[in-house]
Amino acid sequence: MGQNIVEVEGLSKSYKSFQAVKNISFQIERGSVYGFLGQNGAGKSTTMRMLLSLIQPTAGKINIFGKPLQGNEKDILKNIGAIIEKPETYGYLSGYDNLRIFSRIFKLPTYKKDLDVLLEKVGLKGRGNDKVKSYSQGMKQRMGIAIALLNDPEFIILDEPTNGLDPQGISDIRNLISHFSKNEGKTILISSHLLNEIEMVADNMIILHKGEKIVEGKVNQLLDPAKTIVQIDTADLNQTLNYIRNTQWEKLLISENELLFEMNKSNIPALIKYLIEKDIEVLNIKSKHSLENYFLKLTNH
Amino acid sequence: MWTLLGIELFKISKRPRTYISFAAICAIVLIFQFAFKADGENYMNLMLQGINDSFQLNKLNAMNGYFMCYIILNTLLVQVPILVALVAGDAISGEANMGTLRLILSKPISRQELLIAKFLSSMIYTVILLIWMAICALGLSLIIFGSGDMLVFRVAGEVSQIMQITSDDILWRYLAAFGYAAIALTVIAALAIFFSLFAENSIGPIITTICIVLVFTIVSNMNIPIIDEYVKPYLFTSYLVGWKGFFYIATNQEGIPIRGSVEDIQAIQKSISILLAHIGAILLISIYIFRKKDILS
Repeated sequence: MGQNIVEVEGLSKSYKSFQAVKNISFQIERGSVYGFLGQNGAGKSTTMRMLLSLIQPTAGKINIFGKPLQGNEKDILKNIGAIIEKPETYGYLSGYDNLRIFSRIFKLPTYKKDLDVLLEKVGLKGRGNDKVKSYSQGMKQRMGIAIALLNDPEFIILDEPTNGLDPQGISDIRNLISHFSKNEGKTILISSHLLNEIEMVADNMIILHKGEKIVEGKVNQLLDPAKTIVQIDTADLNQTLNYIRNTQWEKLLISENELLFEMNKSNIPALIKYLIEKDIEVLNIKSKHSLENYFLKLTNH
Repeated sequence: MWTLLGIELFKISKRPRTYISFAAICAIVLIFQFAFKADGENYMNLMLQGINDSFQLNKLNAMNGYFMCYIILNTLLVQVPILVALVAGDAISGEANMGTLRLILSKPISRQELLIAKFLSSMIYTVILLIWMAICALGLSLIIFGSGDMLVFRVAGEVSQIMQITSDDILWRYLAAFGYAAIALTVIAALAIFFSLFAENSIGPIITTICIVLVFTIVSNMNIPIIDEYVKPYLFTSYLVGWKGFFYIATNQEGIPIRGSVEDIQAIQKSISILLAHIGAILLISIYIFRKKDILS
């Protein structure tokens, strides 16, 4: 099987004339967290659904755990846990009943004490007897995660797992992902439309746009601090430009209309210091990574 | 497969809508029984309008538990398909609507097994519904109206006929009739499941199934030669009331009913075969479509 848990080659999906996913290839290393970044309609969910055999690809190959997905679905899905979009469960059943249903599919014991361990792990201790329809969105998300983890999967697929959660819920999910990756050695594929979401948890990432792969690589290389975009607002733009001319900062300037610099993040204090020494009134400073800038342009933000 | 069937039955048992059907059947049967108990002769006149002119009967003597059950079945078996569609039409579309279809299909199960489990659970639900109907319509009626020989009135075109079945020759006929009804209603369940493959809420499949049953039933009851010859034999609704055949008793040359006989067993066998063929065909097509279907809900 090698180091890759997932190997995807030339994957495409079309609906009549609309191409939802266009010829994408990627590999996911064992034990890594792999991020899918893209706006709505980028093809993230479609790709994830194809990995779960919920959607049949129009073209391409998917190998998971060293086996082709087609023809080995049951075998492969035994070792996968997934949440696709909103993790809906059976609202008219209790938390325990939901877990019991899926435990039976995996032929796992359905003793209350085993289910309690899982509920405690996802922060739903003491709520097992309540009907899921009475849960908050965050609790439903946790129930979805509990179901995804029932079979102790080797590979976990999380499609926008923090959608609709409050800040505490988002932080809890991030901690869970981090725990499963670092302490339990799980391989995780996570999608989001927020770069910082992926940046915080993923080792490798891919940016999808309109079904196409735009960027792929290691997060720490793609988000290299040397490629930070700094935007500075000053009281007098022309005066600021005059002071910058013929200095070391001029070669870092990428737009004169709004004073945009591309530089290493560590150089920002020196630039500010230089401007203050020249008595320039600095009104505002914003920094973002060039990849973020690129991604925001794609998503028209 | 059996695990999935157990899960499906568990889910059906936990849904409140499942019990609407049981309550509806009980209510309709009780209303019938109350009406006949309170004003039996008038109701008998109303129901036997076509036969009144041809026969002189003591209608109150004819009105026993067996007869009541026959009258109730005649009426209720038109409504029961709606109750069956209510549960079967929700099988796949209800899961798609809740978002649980993608959840369950991302687990290590085959789509074929899931669909068969859903079909079998709908079938078991139908059988339980019929058992409940038997308890209400036959059991309660026997308690309220007592037993006795059963008169069966038959109007075929312009010919009216009365057949008498002795009380010791009736129960097996009801058992067979309920068995037949179970097969007939399973066609409705299969049809509702088929339509539920294409929808993301259960209203569409339920209404579509009911509409098809209504339209086909109207066509099945039309007396137009070209429809009789080319359309009716292929409509499952033409065979839904075939259970009545078990109450049409054969007679000997002197016109005396032969105990334990039915007039046309071959017609019943043919009807059952056609209904089973419908179930098989609908189920196979459903499996084919479901296996190919992209789960986008």
